[in-house]
Amino acid sequence: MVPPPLPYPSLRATQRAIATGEISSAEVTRACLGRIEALDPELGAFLTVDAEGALSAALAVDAARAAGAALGPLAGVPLALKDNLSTRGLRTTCGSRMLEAYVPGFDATVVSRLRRAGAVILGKVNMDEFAMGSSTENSAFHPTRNPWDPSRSPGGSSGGSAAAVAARLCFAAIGSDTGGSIRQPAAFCGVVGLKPTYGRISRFGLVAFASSLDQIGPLTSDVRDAALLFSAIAGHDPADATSAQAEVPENLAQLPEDGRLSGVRIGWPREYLPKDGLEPAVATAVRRALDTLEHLGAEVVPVSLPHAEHAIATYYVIATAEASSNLARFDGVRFGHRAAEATTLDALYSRSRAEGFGLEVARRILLGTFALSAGYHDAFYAKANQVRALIRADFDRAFDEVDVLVTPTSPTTAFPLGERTSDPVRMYLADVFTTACNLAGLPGLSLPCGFDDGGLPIGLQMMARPFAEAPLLRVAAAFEDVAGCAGRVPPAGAEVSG
Amino acid sequence: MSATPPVVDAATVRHVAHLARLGVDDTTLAVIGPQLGAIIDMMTGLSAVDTTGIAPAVLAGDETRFRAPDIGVEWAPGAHLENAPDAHGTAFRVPRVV
Repeated sequence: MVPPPLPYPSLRATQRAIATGEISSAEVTRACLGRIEALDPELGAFLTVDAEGALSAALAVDAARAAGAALGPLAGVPLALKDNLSTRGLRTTCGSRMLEAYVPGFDATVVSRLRRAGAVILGKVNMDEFAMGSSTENSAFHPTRNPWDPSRSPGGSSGGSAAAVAARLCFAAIGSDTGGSIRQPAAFCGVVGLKPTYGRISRFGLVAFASSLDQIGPLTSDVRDAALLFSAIAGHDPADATSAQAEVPENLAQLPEDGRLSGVRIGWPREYLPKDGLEPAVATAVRRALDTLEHLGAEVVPVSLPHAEHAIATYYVIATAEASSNLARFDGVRFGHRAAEATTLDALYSRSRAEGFGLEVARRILLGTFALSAGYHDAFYAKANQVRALIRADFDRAFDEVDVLVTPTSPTTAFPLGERTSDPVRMYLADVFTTACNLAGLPGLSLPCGFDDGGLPIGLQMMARPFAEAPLLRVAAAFEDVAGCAGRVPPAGAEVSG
Repeated sequence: MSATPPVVDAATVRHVAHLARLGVDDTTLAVIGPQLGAIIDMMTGLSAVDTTGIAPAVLAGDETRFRAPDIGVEWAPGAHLENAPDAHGTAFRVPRVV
């Protein structure tokens, strides 16, 4: 089946065309659904497609437009949601057999805000089980394939989100990021992924992995789309006690077109360039990106993050400890998988959890439980939170000197499916550049900065001070405008007009 | 210098699995035990970091920003049973406890 072309190259262009009546949301939505039907059997980005719900929402937008009603900022634009975001009446599996049949009775706050903004939700996309993974191979259902090379991983855990955007099955997707799970798949799939400051976006309705690290964010084909989507979903939510009161800047999506970065200070951490395991093509692309930023007028200087080498270990102690607590709720009693014929409560718990969880989730629950257990709590969990304070202080000092930090997003380009599944430590090292950003609660973004000799995308990570999404997006947009990497479509996502 | 990593043998894994109420069969134990050992070895490297006088940072940012009143969400009657594996009236049925 030949995939229908998407009529417009970006979320913004599509939204404008729908708002002016140039095209109907129903036509755009049918095009996306047609592309999903043609391309997703190979890619495996979607777990649940809600064609009926999507078309119903699209027709409602078209009717509202025809009646002259005011339209929201995302009116009529089809997008996808990572399957750990609760959607009323629509299955939410978290990529797990534990929740294979779970249907929430409520929308996550992010989902409510998207609906209020007029977005059309095509369905739920694949992920590593309970967001634990860096390749989407831990999904209990099937792996997702990278549209740039279907023998390779799209990254994870928001691999379905990134692949769906890269292959133009939708105009944007919402993912979640605990240690890099938006940014790394964005890098592997050649799209933009934004992890906002911790607290910027309500976590109400996001199935929790690690509560002090999880953050929801957009994956889009370019930076300006990410800014628009971020603006629509960010802001305080009284239903999330960790939701920040900080104001979301108005007109954040109106990024300047002039692209000059005079007066902007860009830092690159010495500890990240060079680094063991960093592929030469990635290092070259990042150095070239730093040169580009300098040519745009920025001052580019080295900085130091002395405790960066401990970020992975710190992250895996804290994240697994919090996960072991969060996933205790899945016990076969109130929701989720229940083991058959358990005759004691203890057996109900242990067998339901053994049957419902995959190996990586089990591994992390055991690690986290160990780190919190008597005799080990101080040496692991308490210690890790002290190191976390040191990592945060490193960033505070760095941001006294510079406005934005630039690093590779991932040490490699997309690796082959199956390459790392039997070596968890090697898989964890895929997050070596991203986890520190979560530990410090900073906003971080990945955008394409080049391609390796095999044609695989390379991601550039930018980080800024807490709540500094506006300058972060401005620098990213300026780079994107001259880098020539945005909007490229992989072989598996051909035929985009505009 | 790092502390000596703890021994992660089968008994340790079974004990931790019991704490987590997570069934682990012998086949899984054979795979997961050595992997846990390797990961815990990696984590033990944190012991070499000098954290004298450093207060733990449990949250990502300024903790006072997050001390907002806890606002509950209203649920329709019976909503809590919608995904129940085995509901009985307004309760969840489970194996006999006592």
